[in-house]
Amino acid sequence: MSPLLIGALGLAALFGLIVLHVPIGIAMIIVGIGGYALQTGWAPALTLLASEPSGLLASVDLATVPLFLLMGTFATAAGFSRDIYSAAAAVMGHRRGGLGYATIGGCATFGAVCGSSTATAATFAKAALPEMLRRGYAPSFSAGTIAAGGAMKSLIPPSIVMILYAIVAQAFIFDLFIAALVPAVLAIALNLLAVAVVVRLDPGVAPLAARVAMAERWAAVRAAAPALALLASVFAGIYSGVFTVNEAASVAAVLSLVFAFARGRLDRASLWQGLRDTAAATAMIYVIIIGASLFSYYMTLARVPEALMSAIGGLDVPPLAIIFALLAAYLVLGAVFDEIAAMLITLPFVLPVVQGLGYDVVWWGIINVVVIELGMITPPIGIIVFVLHGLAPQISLPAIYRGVVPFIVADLVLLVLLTLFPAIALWLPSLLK
Amino acid sequence: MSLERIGVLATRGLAAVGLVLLMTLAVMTLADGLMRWLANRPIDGVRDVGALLIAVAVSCCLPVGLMERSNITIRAAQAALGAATGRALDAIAALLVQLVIAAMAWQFTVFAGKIARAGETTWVLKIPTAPFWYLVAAILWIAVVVQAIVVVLEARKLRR
Repeated sequence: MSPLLIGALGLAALFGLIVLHVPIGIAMIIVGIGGYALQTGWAPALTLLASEPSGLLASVDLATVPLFLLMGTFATAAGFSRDIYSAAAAVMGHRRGGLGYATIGGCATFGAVCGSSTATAATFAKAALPEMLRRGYAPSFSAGTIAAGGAMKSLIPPSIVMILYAIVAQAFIFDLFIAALVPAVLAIALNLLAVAVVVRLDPGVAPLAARVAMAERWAAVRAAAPALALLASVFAGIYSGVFTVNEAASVAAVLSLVFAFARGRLDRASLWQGLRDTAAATAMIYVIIIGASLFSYYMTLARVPEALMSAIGGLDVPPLAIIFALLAAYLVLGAVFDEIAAMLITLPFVLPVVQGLGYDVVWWGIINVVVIELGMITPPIGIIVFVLHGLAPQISLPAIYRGVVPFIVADLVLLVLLTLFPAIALWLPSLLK
Repeated sequence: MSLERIGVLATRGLAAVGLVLLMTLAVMTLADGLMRWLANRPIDGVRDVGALLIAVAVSCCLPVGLMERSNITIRAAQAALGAATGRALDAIAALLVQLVIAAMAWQFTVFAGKIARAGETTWVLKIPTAPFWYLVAAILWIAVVVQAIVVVLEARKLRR
């Protein structure tokens, strides 16, 4: 049987199990072990069920995921998102669309002390949405801005998606965090531009508000100081070179807990809920990573990546066309599939192709993150849109999807720029080397 | 107390133990990093047993993920085939998950036994590693019991 046929059958079996409601991580484990067993026998295949997961369970790098999730839980329970948003709103709220800018800026800031996009969006749905609606902002625009701000978090280190990519692609997490800095700034700028364009074209969605007195502005900024200090500590921990990424994650988790206690405003209900969510998310992420690892084993043993690479190498098309075809495939796949799962399932055979075309593994990681960011807000499965709708059921799903359209355009522009000019992502890492 | 409530409380308790262990390890890692940076004297053993403690801490979170069905599942078939078929698929899928978790628990027990027989220890402190892996295997057997509860709960839904 040819490697490409083995790969196709493996994928068909995987999608078959997924359609039958088998969790994606478990489906990957079943197909990975089954496929491996068909090639080598059941005894060696079954030993993989311990030898491979044991390495992942004891991985210091992968342990940064629950640590960064804990950081977000403590920061949320301490009310840091409200502090950050209030400060941003006090400074920018009087401009037309000011609360939109404050939401994007606030999400970017809070995103740096929270590992998860959905948590960032959910937190800002509570902090920003009531205020935006109270000031007469259009529900569609308000929810769209918050969804976009939450999705943007994927690109802001420390990002769980980047860590997962780095683990599976065997890249350095730190390299991805560095490479994401310029694209993250660009993403923030493009999202702010999207707000500006929307309020220019339709001023009714964001009425003007009175300017806040200078004393009140300072008070709001001072109230946000602990959150900003935590942000500075986390960034210094990651980028100073003093700590490894794992140590930086530990610093972030411990400091956020200390800051939350020091703030004296720990919301216990939010803390318990956050801890429960963190544990469940940790389980989900480890199961899917174990699945991806076993599935990758099977694909590699069958030499699927090499066969795919030689098949694509025989095509008379420029590498950039193949990259754009892959991006289109991811966007389509993301419409019917969880984007992170899609990335992890396809990475074993897509990454060798991308590298074979001469592209950088870190650059592809950033591209993947932007695709995932887009998938989180695009229909029909925009997970962040669903989360927002769950928290604000009075705003319909179509209304939220209408609200995110300008931000989808902004993300597509970012994706095209990053694809055409890989240096946007790779310039800073190369400078630091 | 209902079967579901027992499962939820037990798995949340175990997850809390895991998260406390993880935070303890984070504090130790922070102290180790600071000692290395400020006094060039890292704390012996933090890195040595850290990875093994992480394995135990993360394993503690796995049962709660099963109990609260947090694993990513696509339920497109339910929309196309109806709620009854969806419930049947959920029950079959739960059984498949049960088989996979049981196979993992079995293999981890075998794996821990091999490590024990080989007398493997950590590099610096020479602590035997097998007990940590037996602990992980034990947690996975707890996960097997938890998933059995999930299977029963999914099967009960079929009667509706």
